[in-house]
Amino acid sequence: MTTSGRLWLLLLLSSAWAAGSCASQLEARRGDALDVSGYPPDVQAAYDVFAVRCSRCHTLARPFNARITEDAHWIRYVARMRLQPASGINQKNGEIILKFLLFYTAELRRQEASEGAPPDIPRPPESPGWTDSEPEPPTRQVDAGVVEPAPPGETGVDSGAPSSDTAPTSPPAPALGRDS
Amino acid sequence: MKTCMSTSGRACRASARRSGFALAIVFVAAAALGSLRPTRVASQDHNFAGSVQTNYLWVATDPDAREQTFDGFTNELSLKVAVDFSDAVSANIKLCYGCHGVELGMAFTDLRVLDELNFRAGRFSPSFGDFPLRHDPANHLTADKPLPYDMGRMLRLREFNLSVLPAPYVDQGLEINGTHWFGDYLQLDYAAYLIGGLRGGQDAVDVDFMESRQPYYVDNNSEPAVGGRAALTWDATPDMMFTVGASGMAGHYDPKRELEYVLLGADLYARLYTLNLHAEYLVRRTQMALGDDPDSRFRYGPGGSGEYDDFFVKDGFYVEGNLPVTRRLELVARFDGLRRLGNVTINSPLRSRSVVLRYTAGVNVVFDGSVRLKVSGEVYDFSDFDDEVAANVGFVAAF
Repeated sequence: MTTSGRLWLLLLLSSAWAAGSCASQLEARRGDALDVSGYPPDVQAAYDVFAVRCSRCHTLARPFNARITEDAHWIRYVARMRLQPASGINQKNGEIILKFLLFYTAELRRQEASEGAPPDIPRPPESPGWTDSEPEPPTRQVDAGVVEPAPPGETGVDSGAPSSDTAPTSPPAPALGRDS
Repeated sequence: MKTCMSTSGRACRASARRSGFALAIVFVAAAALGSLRPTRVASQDHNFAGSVQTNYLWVATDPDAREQTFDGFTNELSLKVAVDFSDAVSANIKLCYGCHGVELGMAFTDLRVLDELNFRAGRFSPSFGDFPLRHDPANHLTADKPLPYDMGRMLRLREFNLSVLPAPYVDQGLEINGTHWFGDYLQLDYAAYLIGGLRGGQDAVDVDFMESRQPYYVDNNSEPAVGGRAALTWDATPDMMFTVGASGMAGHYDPKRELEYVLLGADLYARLYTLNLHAEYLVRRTQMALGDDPDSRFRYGPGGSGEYDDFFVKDGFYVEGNLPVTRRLELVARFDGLRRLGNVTINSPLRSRSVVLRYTAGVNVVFDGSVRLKVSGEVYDFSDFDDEVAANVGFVAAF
């Protein structure tokens, strides 16, 4: 086989490997199609905003495959995307999109924990990205890596991943870092 | 600070003024740097992304299509790392591999002072048009690019010397850009930049796009090109969004800074529920070196004034729509064209007015895990060559 032939073979194998890597993550990385029918209504509404704005310049596979694990990282990520030309993402939409992405990430984390696999998306001890003006949402630690919403009666809004035996709840929409 | 014991009063006052001015500069610089400090988190956020597309181009009407394009299998790979150092500072590095070898697609730093004021320095795609926003094969839904932006997939690419502005056009320089919202519905984006600019050889008759990717990435004429873009987006409803934009770029492309080019573009984007519509028009006016003996260099003689035109115009357009019909199936349709107006060199197969129109219809199959199969058929309608029928089968993964 010639050198160029070997190169093409190597590239084809690389492509197959990359495609296989994506395809093997069907549950965790859902590509462009995400079934949100089991999500809370407000998160479903947030998904609609996300799906329209975040497919302007790229497919939805980008954010789904970003494998971002920390809330603070998502906050910066969305803030950066908000400033992309013609993004159509104003401050309000940015917070709605962030609301969906935080719930999605928490849901992934919950799924991986319930499957018994060692969680490769560790829950940060706290969400460092909340702005000073917004109080940390009340939560209580249930076990390692899972945060359950605070019981009714406490002030604030629900936060974090729902536990496996509770109905999905949505996180609050934190403010993005930099404003105009 | 020096005392004034050994100097005259006038010199002392001048020195004091200089010192005060220097202190003021240091103070302003410190204040500016202070405004850029991380607001909350000191750690860096890294994000890795990439894509790979393998495409097979089959030209049904030409068994020896390698003479006019890159047919058969081609592979495009991109690997990108984005680093957020803070809320205000980020960097992007992207490596690409394609028909032209390994290329540095991004290597720049962003300094965001405000939403309305961002400084971008390094190697980047200067803001021009709509398509470059989604030039990555994983981000646009056809296997190839629209004719005004084509970079090596179109038929007769050598005869036309590629497109108006092959995408991605990457260059070194500085860009100042920003975005501003007027209420909740109108978004204004703008950008102005200084970059190395398009390149060409001495006594050239057109831009040499290969030179833009020659290592090392250095300017060829000691003079930056200038450009800018403005776009207005109307976020009409949650399901409808419209963008209209205009772009421009100008500079000299030859080493002696004698040959000028001016590039203009207009673009339109509409999102109507799930239907995406894109339309763009690009035009480039490029000066040619006539040389000492234009009679032996050009096919056509002088015009009515008795003088040779020293420029040609190349323009192109595309209109593209894509519509997801199910969660796994997308339809794509595109109509695009490219035209060259002006004198040609004596050996060129083109005439003084050469046009190609292309009709594309495609279907994409979306697999879970962000893998897409892109299948499209294309009909080329050439003014100067036989018409051709081609098909693309592309397999792309975003990761």
